[in-house]
Amino acid sequence: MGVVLEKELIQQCKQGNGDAFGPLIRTYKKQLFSYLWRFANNNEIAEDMFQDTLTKAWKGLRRYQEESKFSSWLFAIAHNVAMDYVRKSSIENKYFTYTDNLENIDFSNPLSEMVAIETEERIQKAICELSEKQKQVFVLRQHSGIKFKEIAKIMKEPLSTVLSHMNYAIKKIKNELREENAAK
Amino acid sequence: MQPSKNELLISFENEIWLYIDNSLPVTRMHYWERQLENNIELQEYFLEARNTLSLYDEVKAPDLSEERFTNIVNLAVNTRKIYSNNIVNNIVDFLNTLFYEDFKKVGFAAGLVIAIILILFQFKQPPAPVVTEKYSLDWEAEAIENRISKVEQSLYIIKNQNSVDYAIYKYSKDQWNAARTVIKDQINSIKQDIENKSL
Repeated sequence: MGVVLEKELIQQCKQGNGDAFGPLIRTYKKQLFSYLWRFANNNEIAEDMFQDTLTKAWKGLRRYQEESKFSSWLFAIAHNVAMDYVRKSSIENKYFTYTDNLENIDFSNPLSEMVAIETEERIQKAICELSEKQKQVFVLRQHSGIKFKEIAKIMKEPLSTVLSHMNYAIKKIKNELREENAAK
Repeated sequence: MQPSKNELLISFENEIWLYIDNSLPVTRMHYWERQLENNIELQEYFLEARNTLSLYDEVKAPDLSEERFTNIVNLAVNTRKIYSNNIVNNIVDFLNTLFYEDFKKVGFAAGLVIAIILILFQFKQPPAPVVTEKYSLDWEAEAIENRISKVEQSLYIIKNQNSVDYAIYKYSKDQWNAARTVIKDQINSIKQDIENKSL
Protein backbone atom coordinates (compact mmCIF):
# COMPACT_ATOMS: atom_id res chain seq x y z
CA MET A 1 0.00 0.00 0.00
CA GLY A 2 1.29 3.43 -0.88
CA VAL A 3 1.96 6.05 1.74
CA VAL A 4 -0.63 8.38 0.24
CA LEU A 5 -3.34 5.73 0.27
CA GLU A 6 -2.46 4.79 3.83
CA LYS A 7 -2.74 8.42 4.94
CA GLU A 8 -6.07 8.72 3.16
CA LEU A 9 -7.38 5.60 4.92
CA ILE A 10 -6.13 6.90 8.27
CA GLN A 11 -7.97 10.18 7.70
CA GLN A 12 -11.16 8.34 6.83
CA CYS A 13 -10.86 6.20 9.96
CA LYS A 14 -10.29 9.30 12.07
CA GLN A 15 -13.53 10.68 10.67
CA GLY A 16 -15.29 7.51 11.84
CA ASN A 17 -15.46 5.60 8.56
CA GLY A 18 -15.26 2.01 9.71
CA ASP A 19 -15.08 0.72 6.14
CA ALA A 20 -11.59 2.17 5.81
CA PHE A 21 -10.25 0.29 8.82
CA GLY A 22 -10.11 -3.17 7.19
CA PRO A 23 -8.06 -2.06 4.16
CA LEU A 24 -5.78 -0.04 6.44
CA ILE A 25 -5.01 -3.04 8.66
CA ARG A 26 -4.92 -5.66 5.92
CA THR A 27 -1.39 -4.63 4.90
CA TYR A 28 -0.11 -5.59 8.35
CA LYS A 29 -2.48 -8.50 8.99
CA LYS A 30 -0.02 -11.34 8.52
CA GLN A 31 2.90 -9.60 10.26
CA LEU A 32 0.73 -8.58 13.16
CA PHE A 33 -0.93 -11.93 13.63
CA SER A 34 2.31 -13.92 13.41
CA TYR A 35 3.94 -11.49 15.87
CA LEU A 36 1.15 -12.03 18.39
CA TRP A 37 1.13 -15.75 17.70
CA ARG A 38 4.79 -15.91 18.81
CA PHE A 39 3.68 -14.79 22.24
CA ALA A 40 0.51 -16.84 22.39
CA ASN A 41 1.78 -19.98 20.66
CA ASN A 42 -1.86 -20.76 20.16
CA ASN A 43 -4.29 -19.64 17.44
CA GLU A 44 -7.19 -18.92 19.74
CA ILE A 45 -5.21 -16.72 22.11
CA ALA A 46 -3.45 -15.04 19.19
CA GLU A 47 -6.84 -14.20 17.68
CA ASP A 48 -7.99 -12.71 20.98
CA MET A 49 -4.84 -10.63 21.15
CA PHE A 50 -5.30 -9.60 17.53
CA GLN A 51 -8.84 -8.47 18.25
CA ASP A 52 -7.71 -6.61 21.34
CA THR A 53 -5.02 -4.85 19.29
CA LEU A 54 -7.47 -3.85 16.56
CA THR A 55 -10.04 -2.59 19.06
CA LYS A 56 -7.43 -0.45 20.76
CA ALA A 57 -6.08 0.77 17.43
CA TRP A 58 -9.55 1.80 16.25
CA LYS A 59 -10.33 3.58 19.50
CA GLY A 60 -6.95 5.29 19.54
CA LEU A 61 -6.75 6.33 15.90
CA ARG A 62 -7.94 9.84 16.67
CA ARG A 63 -4.85 10.25 18.85
CA TYR A 64 -2.47 8.88 16.25
CA GLN A 65 -0.01 11.54 15.22
CA GLU A 66 1.16 11.08 11.69
CA GLU A 67 4.74 12.10 12.35
CA SER A 68 5.40 8.50 13.41
CA LYS A 69 5.01 5.59 11.03
CA PHE A 70 1.64 3.88 11.23
CA SER A 71 3.28 0.44 11.38
CA SER A 72 5.36 1.53 14.42
CA TRP A 73 2.27 2.89 16.12
CA LEU A 74 0.28 -0.27 15.38
CA PHE A 75 3.03 -2.58 16.59
CA ALA A 76 3.48 -0.48 19.73
CA ILE A 77 -0.17 -1.27 20.55
CA ALA A 78 0.35 -4.94 19.69
CA HIS A 79 3.46 -4.99 21.85
CA ASN A 80 1.52 -3.63 24.83
CA VAL A 81 -1.23 -6.19 24.26
CA ALA A 82 1.39 -8.94 24.06
CA MET A 83 3.11 -7.73 27.23
CA ASP A 84 -0.22 -7.71 29.06
CA TYR A 85 -0.65 -11.28 27.97
CA VAL A 86 2.89 -12.16 29.05
CA ARG A 87 2.29 -10.67 32.49
CA LYS A 88 -0.91 -12.65 32.90
CA SER A 89 0.37 -15.86 31.41
CA SER A 90 3.69 -15.83 33.25
CA ILE A 91 1.71 -16.76 36.34
CA GLU A 92 0.33 -19.72 34.46
CA ASN A 93 3.78 -20.43 32.98
CA LYS A 94 2.50 -20.48 29.42
CA TYR A 95 4.75 -17.86 27.88
CA PHE A 96 6.72 -19.18 24.94
CA THR A 97 6.26 -22.75 25.91
CA TYR A 98 7.66 -25.33 23.59
CA THR A 99 4.94 -27.18 21.77
CA ASP A 100 4.81 -30.16 19.52
CA ASN A 101 3.42 -29.12 16.15
CA LEU A 102 3.01 -32.60 14.69
CA GLU A 103 -0.72 -32.24 14.79
CA ASN A 104 -0.46 -29.42 12.23
CA ILE A 105 1.21 -31.50 9.53
CA ASP A 106 -0.35 -31.31 6.09
CA PHE A 107 -0.24 -34.98 5.03
CA SER A 108 -0.74 -34.14 1.35
CA ASN A 109 2.97 -33.22 1.27
CA PRO A 110 4.32 -34.83 4.40
CA LEU A 111 8.06 -34.58 3.73
CA SER A 112 8.24 -30.83 3.16
CA GLU A 113 5.78 -30.31 5.96
CA MET A 114 7.91 -32.38 8.32
CA VAL A 115 11.03 -30.37 7.41
CA ALA A 116 9.19 -27.09 7.89
CA ILE A 117 7.81 -28.17 11.22
CA GLU A 118 11.19 -29.46 12.35
CA THR A 119 12.77 -26.10 11.52
CA GLU A 120 9.94 -24.34 13.26
CA GLU A 121 10.43 -26.46 16.35
CA ARG A 122 14.14 -25.79 16.40
CA ILE A 123 13.52 -22.08 16.09
CA GLN A 124 10.82 -22.24 18.71
CA LYS A 125 13.10 -24.14 21.07
CA ALA A 126 15.88 -21.60 20.45
CA ILE A 127 13.51 -18.72 21.21
CA CYS A 128 12.48 -20.45 24.43
CA GLU A 129 16.08 -20.21 25.56
CA LEU A 130 16.18 -16.42 25.20
CA SER A 131 15.63 -14.00 28.04
CA GLU A 132 12.32 -12.16 27.98
CA LYS A 133 13.80 -8.91 26.67
CA GLN A 134 15.82 -10.72 24.03
CA LYS A 135 12.67 -12.46 22.82
CA GLN A 136 10.77 -9.20 22.72
CA VAL A 137 13.41 -7.42 20.64
CA PHE A 138 13.96 -10.34 18.29
CA VAL A 139 10.30 -11.12 17.67
CA LEU A 140 9.27 -7.49 17.33
CA ARG A 141 12.05 -6.85 14.84
CA GLN A 142 11.42 -9.97 12.79
CA HIS A 143 7.68 -9.60 12.49
CA SER A 144 7.20 -5.87 12.31
CA GLY A 145 10.28 -5.03 10.30
CA ILE A 146 10.44 -1.68 12.07
CA LYS A 147 13.82 -0.15 12.76
CA PHE A 148 15.70 -0.62 16.00
CA LYS A 149 15.37 3.05 16.91
CA GLU A 150 11.58 2.61 16.82
CA ILE A 151 11.81 -0.65 18.76
CA ALA A 152 13.79 1.18 21.45
CA LYS A 153 10.98 3.74 21.70
CA ILE A 154 8.28 1.07 21.86
CA MET A 155 10.13 -0.88 24.53
CA LYS A 156 11.19 2.30 26.35
CA GLU A 157 14.78 1.04 26.41
CA PRO A 158 18.00 2.74 25.29
CA LEU A 159 18.97 1.90 21.72
CA SER A 160 22.27 0.39 22.85
CA THR A 161 20.40 -2.00 25.17
CA VAL A 162 18.03 -3.05 22.39
CA LEU A 163 20.96 -3.71 20.02
CA SER A 164 22.69 -5.70 22.72
CA HIS A 165 19.55 -7.82 23.25
CA MET A 166 19.40 -8.48 19.52
CA ASN A 167 23.06 -9.52 19.42
CA TYR A 168 22.59 -11.96 22.28
CA ALA A 169 19.39 -13.30 20.73
CA ILE A 170 21.05 -14.00 17.39
CA LYS A 171 24.05 -15.63 19.05
CA LYS A 172 21.88 -17.89 21.17
CA ILE A 173 19.66 -18.90 18.26
CA LYS A 174 22.70 -19.55 16.09
CA ASN A 175 24.29 -21.70 18.79
CA GLU A 176 21.07 -23.58 19.40
CA LEU A 177 20.71 -24.37 15.71
CA ARG A 178 24.37 -25.43 15.49
CA GLU A 179 23.97 -27.79 18.46
CA GLU A 180 20.90 -29.29 16.87
CA ASN A 181 22.75 -29.83 13.61
CA ALA A 182 25.77 -31.29 15.40
CA ALA A 183 23.57 -33.73 17.30
CA LYS A 184 22.13 -35.11 14.03
CA MET B 1 46.04 3.65 13.69
CA GLN B 2 44.11 0.75 12.26
CA PRO B 3 41.94 -1.27 14.70
CA SER B 4 42.89 -4.90 15.19
CA LYS B 5 40.65 -7.57 13.66
CA ASN B 6 39.18 -8.32 17.05
CA GLU B 7 38.43 -4.67 17.75
CA LEU B 8 36.90 -4.34 14.32
CA LEU B 9 34.63 -7.32 14.94
CA ILE B 10 33.49 -5.96 18.31
CA SER B 11 32.82 -2.60 16.71
CA PHE B 12 30.85 -4.29 13.93
CA GLU B 13 28.82 -6.31 16.46
CA ASN B 14 27.75 -3.02 18.01
CA GLU B 15 26.69 -1.51 14.73
CA ILE B 16 25.58 -4.41 12.56
CA TRP B 17 21.87 -3.88 13.21
CA LEU B 18 22.04 -0.19 12.49
CA TYR B 19 23.96 -1.09 9.34
CA ILE B 20 21.23 -3.54 8.32
CA ASP B 21 18.63 -0.88 9.21
CA ASN B 22 20.49 1.65 7.09
CA SER B 23 20.36 3.93 10.14
CA LEU B 24 24.06 4.80 10.30
CA PRO B 25 25.49 8.02 8.90
CA VAL B 26 26.46 7.72 5.22
CA THR B 27 30.19 7.82 5.93
CA ARG B 28 29.84 5.02 8.45
CA MET B 29 27.76 2.95 6.04
CA HIS B 30 30.50 3.31 3.43
CA TYR B 31 33.13 2.43 6.01
CA TRP B 32 31.44 -0.88 6.82
CA GLU B 33 30.82 -1.65 3.17
CA ARG B 34 34.57 -1.33 2.54
CA GLN B 35 35.39 -3.43 5.59
CA LEU B 36 32.95 -6.15 4.55
CA GLU B 37 34.54 -6.37 1.13
CA ASN B 38 38.00 -6.91 2.60
CA ASN B 39 37.49 -8.71 5.89
CA ILE B 40 36.48 -12.38 5.73
CA GLU B 41 35.66 -12.61 9.45
CA LEU B 42 33.27 -9.71 9.19
CA GLN B 43 31.71 -11.24 6.10
CA GLU B 44 31.14 -14.54 7.95
CA TYR B 45 29.66 -12.80 10.96
CA PHE B 46 27.36 -10.74 8.77
CA LEU B 47 26.23 -13.71 6.68
CA GLU B 48 25.60 -15.89 9.74
CA ALA B 49 23.42 -13.23 11.26
CA ARG B 50 21.48 -12.79 8.04
CA ASN B 51 21.12 -16.53 7.54
CA THR B 52 19.74 -16.96 11.03
CA LEU B 53 17.16 -14.28 10.35
CA SER B 54 16.33 -15.84 6.98
CA LEU B 55 15.86 -19.23 8.60
CA TYR B 56 13.44 -17.69 11.04
CA ASP B 57 11.59 -15.94 8.21
CA GLU B 58 11.32 -19.21 6.28
CA VAL B 59 9.33 -20.79 9.05
CA LYS B 60 5.73 -20.99 8.04
CA ALA B 61 4.19 -18.08 9.85
CA PRO B 62 0.62 -18.61 10.96
CA ASP B 63 -1.95 -16.35 9.37
CA LEU B 64 -5.49 -15.37 10.12
CA SER B 65 -8.26 -16.52 7.78
CA GLU B 66 -9.90 -13.81 5.72
CA GLU B 67 -13.28 -14.54 7.26
CA ARG B 68 -11.94 -14.26 10.80
CA PHE B 69 -10.07 -11.09 9.90
CA THR B 70 -13.26 -9.47 8.58
CA ASN B 71 -15.14 -10.49 11.72
CA ILE B 72 -12.48 -9.05 13.99
CA VAL B 73 -12.34 -5.77 12.06
CA ASN B 74 -16.13 -5.47 12.25
CA LEU B 75 -16.07 -6.22 15.95
CA ALA B 76 -13.42 -3.57 16.57
CA VAL B 77 -15.30 -0.94 14.59
CA ASN B 78 -18.67 -1.80 16.14
CA THR B 79 -17.20 -1.69 19.62
CA ARG B 80 -16.27 1.86 18.80
CA LYS B 81 -19.83 2.66 17.72
CA ILE B 82 -21.26 1.33 20.95
CA TYR B 83 -18.56 3.24 22.73
CA SER B 84 -19.58 6.45 20.92
CA ASN B 85 -23.12 6.15 22.20
CA ASN B 86 -22.02 6.06 25.79
CA ILE B 87 -21.72 9.60 27.12
CA VAL B 88 -19.61 8.60 30.12
CA ASN B 89 -17.20 6.69 27.92
CA ASN B 90 -17.04 9.63 25.54
CA ILE B 91 -16.01 11.87 28.41
CA VAL B 92 -13.39 9.32 29.44
CA ASP B 93 -12.22 9.16 25.85
CA PHE B 94 -12.07 12.94 25.69
CA LEU B 95 -10.03 13.07 28.88
CA ASN B 96 -7.76 10.36 27.54
CA THR B 97 -7.27 12.43 24.40
CA LEU B 98 -6.65 15.53 26.44
CA PHE B 99 -4.07 13.90 28.63
CA TYR B 100 -2.46 11.87 25.88
CA GLU B 101 1.27 12.30 25.25
CA ASP B 102 2.00 16.06 25.01
CA PHE B 103 -1.13 16.95 26.90
CA LYS B 104 -0.33 14.46 29.60
CA LYS B 105 2.44 16.60 31.06
CA VAL B 106 0.48 19.84 30.64
CA GLY B 107 -2.60 18.24 32.14
CA PHE B 108 -0.65 16.88 35.05
CA ALA B 109 0.98 20.28 35.70
CA ALA B 110 -2.38 22.05 35.47
CA GLY B 111 -3.91 19.55 37.85
CA LEU B 112 -1.05 20.05 40.25
CA VAL B 113 -1.44 23.86 40.13
CA ILE B 114 -5.19 23.60 40.73
CA ALA B 115 -4.58 21.27 43.66
CA ILE B 116 -2.04 23.68 45.17
CA ILE B 117 -4.39 26.66 44.71
CA LEU B 118 -7.20 24.76 46.38
CA ILE B 119 -4.96 23.79 49.30
CA LEU B 120 -3.70 27.38 49.69
CA PHE B 121 -7.24 28.68 49.45
CA GLN B 122 -8.19 26.39 52.29
CA PHE B 123 -5.32 27.73 54.40
CA LYS B 124 -6.01 31.39 53.57
CA GLN B 125 -9.66 31.20 54.43
CA PRO B 126 -10.45 32.80 57.80
CA PRO B 127 -11.58 30.38 60.40
CA ALA B 128 -15.27 29.81 60.31
CA PRO B 129 -17.02 32.28 62.66
CA VAL B 130 -18.03 30.78 65.98
CA VAL B 131 -21.75 31.22 66.18
CA THR B 132 -22.55 32.24 69.69
CA GLU B 133 -26.04 32.52 70.95
CA LYS B 134 -26.99 36.05 71.75
CA TYR B 135 -28.28 35.29 75.20
CA SER B 136 -24.95 34.03 76.45
CA LEU B 137 -23.28 37.30 75.45
CA ASP B 138 -26.16 39.47 76.60
CA TRP B 139 -24.77 39.52 80.08
CA GLU B 140 -25.23 43.18 81.07
CA ALA B 141 -22.31 42.80 83.38
CA GLU B 142 -22.17 46.40 84.55
CA ALA B 143 -25.76 46.48 85.72
CA ILE B 144 -25.47 43.20 87.54
CA GLU B 145 -22.18 44.23 89.08
CA ASN B 146 -23.85 47.39 90.38
CA ARG B 147 -26.62 45.39 91.85
CA ILE B 148 -24.20 42.95 93.50
CA SER B 149 -22.25 45.88 94.80
CA LYS B 150 -25.37 47.35 96.35
CA VAL B 151 -26.14 44.02 98.04
CA GLU B 152 -22.58 43.81 99.33
CA GLN B 153 -22.84 47.30 100.72
CA SER B 154 -26.13 46.48 102.38
CA LEU B 155 -24.67 43.31 103.88
CA TYR B 156 -21.65 45.23 105.03
CA ILE B 157 -23.87 47.74 106.76
CA ILE B 158 -25.87 45.00 108.41
CA LYS B 159 -22.73 43.19 109.60
CA ASN B 160 -21.22 46.30 110.94
CA GLN B 161 -22.59 46.79 114.47
CA ASN B 162 -22.14 50.52 114.44
CA SER B 163 -24.06 50.74 111.29
CA VAL B 164 -26.79 48.57 112.79
CA ASP B 165 -26.94 50.80 115.85
CA TYR B 166 -27.06 53.81 113.59
CA ALA B 167 -29.73 52.24 111.48
CA ILE B 168 -31.79 51.32 114.54
CA TYR B 169 -31.36 54.80 115.71
CA LYS B 170 -32.25 56.27 112.36
CA TYR B 171 -34.86 53.84 111.17
CA SER B 172 -37.82 52.43 112.90
CA LYS B 173 -38.22 48.67 113.15
CA ASP B 174 -40.56 48.70 110.18
CA GLN B 175 -38.13 50.69 108.14
CA TRP B 176 -35.39 48.23 109.08
CA ASN B 177 -37.53 45.30 108.06
CA ALA B 178 -38.44 47.07 104.85
CA ALA B 179 -34.76 47.65 104.15
CA ARG B 180 -34.05 43.97 104.81
CA THR B 181 -36.86 42.94 102.47
CA VAL B 182 -35.48 45.16 99.74
CA ILE B 183 -32.07 43.56 100.13
CA LYS B 184 -33.59 40.11 100.09
CA ASP B 185 -35.59 40.94 96.98
CA GLN B 186 -32.48 42.25 95.29
CA ILE B 187 -30.61 39.02 96.04
CA ASN B 188 -33.47 36.91 94.74
CA SER B 189 -33.73 39.07 91.68
CA ILE B 190 -30.02 38.58 90.93
CA LYS B 191 -30.34 34.83 91.52
CA GLN B 192 -33.24 34.68 89.14
CA ASP B 193 -31.38 36.61 86.46
CA ILE B 194 -28.33 34.40 86.76
CA GLU B 195 -30.45 31.28 86.44
CA ASN B 196 -32.08 32.67 83.30
CA LYS B 197 -28.77 33.37 81.56
CA SER B 198 -27.48 30.11 80.24
CA LEU B 199 -23.88 30.00 79.08
